[in-house]
Amino acid sequence: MSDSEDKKFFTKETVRYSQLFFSDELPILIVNIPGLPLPTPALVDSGATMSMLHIGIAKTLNLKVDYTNKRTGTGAGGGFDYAPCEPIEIGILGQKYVVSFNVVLDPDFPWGCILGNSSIFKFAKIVFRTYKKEFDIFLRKDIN
Amino acid sequence: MIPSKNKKMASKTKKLFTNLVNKYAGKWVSVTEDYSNVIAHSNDLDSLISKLKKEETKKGLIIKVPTQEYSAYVG
Repeated sequence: MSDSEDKKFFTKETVRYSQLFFSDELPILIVNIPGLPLPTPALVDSGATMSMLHIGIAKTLNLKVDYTNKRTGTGAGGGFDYAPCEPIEIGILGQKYVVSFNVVLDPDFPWGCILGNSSIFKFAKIVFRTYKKEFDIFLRKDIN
Repeated sequence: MIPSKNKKMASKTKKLFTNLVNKYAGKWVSVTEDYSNVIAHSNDLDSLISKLKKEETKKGLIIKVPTQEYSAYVG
């Protein structure tokens, strides 16, 4: 990477994988969502094209969800219905970024938040080192 | 969050989550960052937030406890 490219990023942060409700340790970031008094864990999912938010959070924050635009998505875990919602600003490692989430309409969805290619991978460079159970994250300075 | 550095620790951590699922399945819960203590819990997020505001809780995490225990996650 060129020096000029490097200047677009904040200093590297290394985050250890952590366990949540699954046996495996996973790349998880703690994110601040305005309106929630405490932060919540978010999965960093390089295999997810979209970024997902739990419907309970969307309802509590009174986010505008376009239910007329309901769609069905799929993953190895099965199909799920979702709808787009208005962009919100979230806090990650002390920086703020605007994310356009899709809201998963199943209240039993096991994640509060999933950061996929539509969000974290647009505003950060991430190097996964699963063999060491950690990842490096370089957040961009020029996007927020 | 709990970065488990070895299998023994990972197993201990897994037990914490098993206990959470057993006691709080399907609920919104605020927990300490090591998941060892539940600060407050509720069936819905609005009520949980009200409790946290009333108790002026400043530390911890908000999580949704799954309705069942999962062995693995495949996105």
